[in-house]
Amino acid sequence: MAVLVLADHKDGALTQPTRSTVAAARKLGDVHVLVAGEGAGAAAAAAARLPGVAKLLTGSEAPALAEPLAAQLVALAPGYSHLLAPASAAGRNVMPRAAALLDVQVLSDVCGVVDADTFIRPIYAGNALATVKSADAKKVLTVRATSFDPVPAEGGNATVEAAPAAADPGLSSFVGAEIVKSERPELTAARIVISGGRAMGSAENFAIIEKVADRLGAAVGASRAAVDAGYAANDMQVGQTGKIVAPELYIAVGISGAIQHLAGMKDSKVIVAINKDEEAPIFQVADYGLVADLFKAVPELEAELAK
Amino acid sequence: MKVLVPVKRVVDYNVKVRVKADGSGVETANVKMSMNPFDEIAVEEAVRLKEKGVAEEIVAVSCGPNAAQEQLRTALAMGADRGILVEHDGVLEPLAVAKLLKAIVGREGPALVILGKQAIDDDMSATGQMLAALLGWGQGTFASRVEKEGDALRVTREVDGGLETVSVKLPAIVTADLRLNEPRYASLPNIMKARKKPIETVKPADLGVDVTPRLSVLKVEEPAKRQAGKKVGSVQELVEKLRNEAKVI
Amino acid sequence: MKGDNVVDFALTPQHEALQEAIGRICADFGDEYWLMRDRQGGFPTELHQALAKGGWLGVCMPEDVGGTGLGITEAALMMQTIAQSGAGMSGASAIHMNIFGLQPVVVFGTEEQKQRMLPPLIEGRERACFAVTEPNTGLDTTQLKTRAERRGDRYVVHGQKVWISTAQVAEKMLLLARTTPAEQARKRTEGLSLFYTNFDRSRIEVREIEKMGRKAVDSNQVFIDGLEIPVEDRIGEEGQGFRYILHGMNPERILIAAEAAGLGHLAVSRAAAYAKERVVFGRPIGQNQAIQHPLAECWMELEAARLMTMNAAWRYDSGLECGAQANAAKYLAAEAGFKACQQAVMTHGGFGYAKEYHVERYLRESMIPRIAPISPQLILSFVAERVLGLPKSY
Repeated sequence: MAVLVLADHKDGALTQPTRSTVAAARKLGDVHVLVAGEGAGAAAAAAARLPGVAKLLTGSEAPALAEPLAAQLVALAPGYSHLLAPASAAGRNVMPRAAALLDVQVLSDVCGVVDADTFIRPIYAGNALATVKSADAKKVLTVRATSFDPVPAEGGNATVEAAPAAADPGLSSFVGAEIVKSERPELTAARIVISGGRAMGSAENFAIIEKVADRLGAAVGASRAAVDAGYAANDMQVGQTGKIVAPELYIAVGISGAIQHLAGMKDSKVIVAINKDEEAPIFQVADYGLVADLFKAVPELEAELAK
Repeated sequence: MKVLVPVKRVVDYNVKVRVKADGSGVETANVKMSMNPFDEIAVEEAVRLKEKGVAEEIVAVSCGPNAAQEQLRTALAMGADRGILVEHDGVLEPLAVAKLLKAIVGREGPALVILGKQAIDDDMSATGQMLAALLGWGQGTFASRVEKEGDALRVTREVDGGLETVSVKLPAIVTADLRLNEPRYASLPNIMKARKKPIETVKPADLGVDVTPRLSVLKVEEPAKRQAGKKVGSVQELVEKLRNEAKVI
Repeated sequence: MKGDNVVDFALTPQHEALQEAIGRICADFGDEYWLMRDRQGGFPTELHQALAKGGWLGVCMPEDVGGTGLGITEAALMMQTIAQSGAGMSGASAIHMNIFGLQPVVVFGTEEQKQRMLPPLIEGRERACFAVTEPNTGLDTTQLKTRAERRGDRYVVHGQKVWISTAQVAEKMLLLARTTPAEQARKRTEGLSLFYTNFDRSRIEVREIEKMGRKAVDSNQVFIDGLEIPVEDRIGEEGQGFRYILHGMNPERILIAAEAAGLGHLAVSRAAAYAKERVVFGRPIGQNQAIQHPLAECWMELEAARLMTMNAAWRYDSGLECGAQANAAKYLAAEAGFKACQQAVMTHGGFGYAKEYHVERYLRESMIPRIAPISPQLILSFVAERVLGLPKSY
């Protein structure tokens, strides 16, 4: 039986997490993709070109709301063994609703596919990984995109057809959205954090870090030494006495790596250290260490990321 | 209107959980337990609605072991009026909890159910949506702002890359995100009053709900440990490694 | 459980809820806050206000004046939790006086006085200082010299007091002063009267004493020159003040014991955390018995002291005589707390001497519960005389 992927898309383009979800879905069977919501037409054309996608279904172009979308998934469900979506805000909104309508326990944030019934997912904020087997006849899951290499954007040629319309239960309506946000993410919620230490030398010099942060969509942090020296605001402090962060990528710039600081960031997935003192303890916990003068390396980093 | 606030007893967010040596789960014996932080935000929102005169009564519900009474007491100390414990010692998955809550909704008749967007133990982020589905109600998930407008709620939602606003007809489900509010600290007099507020205990069987888990946990393990760090020779090499090896940018 | 009369050492769910709630408030005041207060001085107004807002200052005040009517047991748990949160004596002393100090008003004040005096204190609108000790009498309280002379509907006060905490910031003062000259009093313990009145700075001069630790909570010399106190601010009968003030002494010893135990536990946990992380000679220093045994010993002594404290509190709340237990608790907790703080500094080695590792601050503060409100020697004499029946030695 085929599997159905609900696509995420933005401005008429598929998101990378959607391509990762297709990659996960390909482990389970023939992949059909449903594209619905505003801008679905253009996104559907892109989805039809994804390698491994056999059929493309287009839904309503009205702004996606959980209630009608879940109803549509339920209407399509009899033809599928698995229903998948990226574990994005959109996927996590609709998939549990669809699962409950199907009397199925949803599996959220799946980061590994063992077999058709068995999946791996993080629990306790990623401090543990659970391998779980579902007894439900049909599986509904959301997929952690970073755990699956996305399929290429091109290479497939799926047939396109309109999904049968499902009735909108009329429980909610779309009012508006504010999607453009230029502010940096909040320190403890950011996927990437870049922090500066006392070696930054002044508050003004933090600007070079901020440029890299904007390039990466990262939050900016600071060591306590930098805060004490007045180079950074107290709420930027990462460490035992400041904020505890565990982003996917933590870049420590000019930070020696005092115990105080390590306690606040040692659970980050990937740690990068840039420091001119090659004996600095931060290198003992860094996955990637660069021994360099930060005033040279950080602008270079920004330039390299711009490429 | 009456507001129902489900709260979950979870390992306190300050506790660094340890995986059991036999891989059967995480260590929960002698570990500090607390109310799920997102549920605290939900309780706070309900209390604010009551203070604004929008809500008349707040009923806190917890599905879990007898000890979950402590979390109900916390909700009562924050301002909920009474508690219901659906007592069950085994695993309760979100679908089962949603079914139990549906039965409670049937008895209590609230116009609004507010709950946390996610519990910090199983990280499933599903109970609210599942309850909405079973009740046939609309849902405003990941809410950062909630306002009542006539017979609907205007809910501002945290979505990828920004905010989205939806109007959800009442009765409705709202799930609370981090920025919805900052929960108050229970005051001493309110903690004392909470000891006297009623908590009713029911069992899943009383509600006619089958809570048999659908998932079986085959093993629980720690995520792979960080590899010993390596030095890179240049910024170019660093960016290349971050893109292609670590895949974090 | 076995046996008929089970002694229950477990905290009740209510006690746990109190600890949890107070701990959350204190968590907003981190190590940096207390380090700063210790460096710069300045009353920890933010903590005082946060606790007042949560109703905590009324923990053992009667409900009809806006308190919660709990016992010294709960107050002790609260004070231990505050000290142990990292606030140490800087945090505990900032509210200590407000928690128990007005017991004489609660017990001996008129209804009008209670309604007038207690709610502002509970709500945090007013802070009180405790003006008893004098430079020339030490712990010989019955020999106080400060005079309050009755003139019509008021008293006029002259004299000086010393070691008066929070006199820099207090709006109110609980004052013990002589209304009958010592030689005319019928008994040694009579002739002193108790007042709760405005801290009128036009008639009172306050000089801060620079001291070893706890810079945030000021200690002072107080010079009173012609302070006028209306009769309605006198608590109870004239001449009976000493008896009234005794009423608060056992609770005070219990609370200070709880604070000392909290401070000690704070020091031990910080030292243990450091010993786990600090690697020298290729292994954490905490793997060495020379490091771990002294810390284990400190923990045991602190726990023993804490249990004595809870025993004393339970006796007080149960209406049982508790003088021996309250004094013993204060002695044991103060000594154990001091030892723990000292061991924490030694565990940290050179870093223990650095302010940013906090333990040296704890060590300086740990002297306070040893010295105040009564010396360890007087406690020993008290136990020798009152418990063991030995002849009075002083």
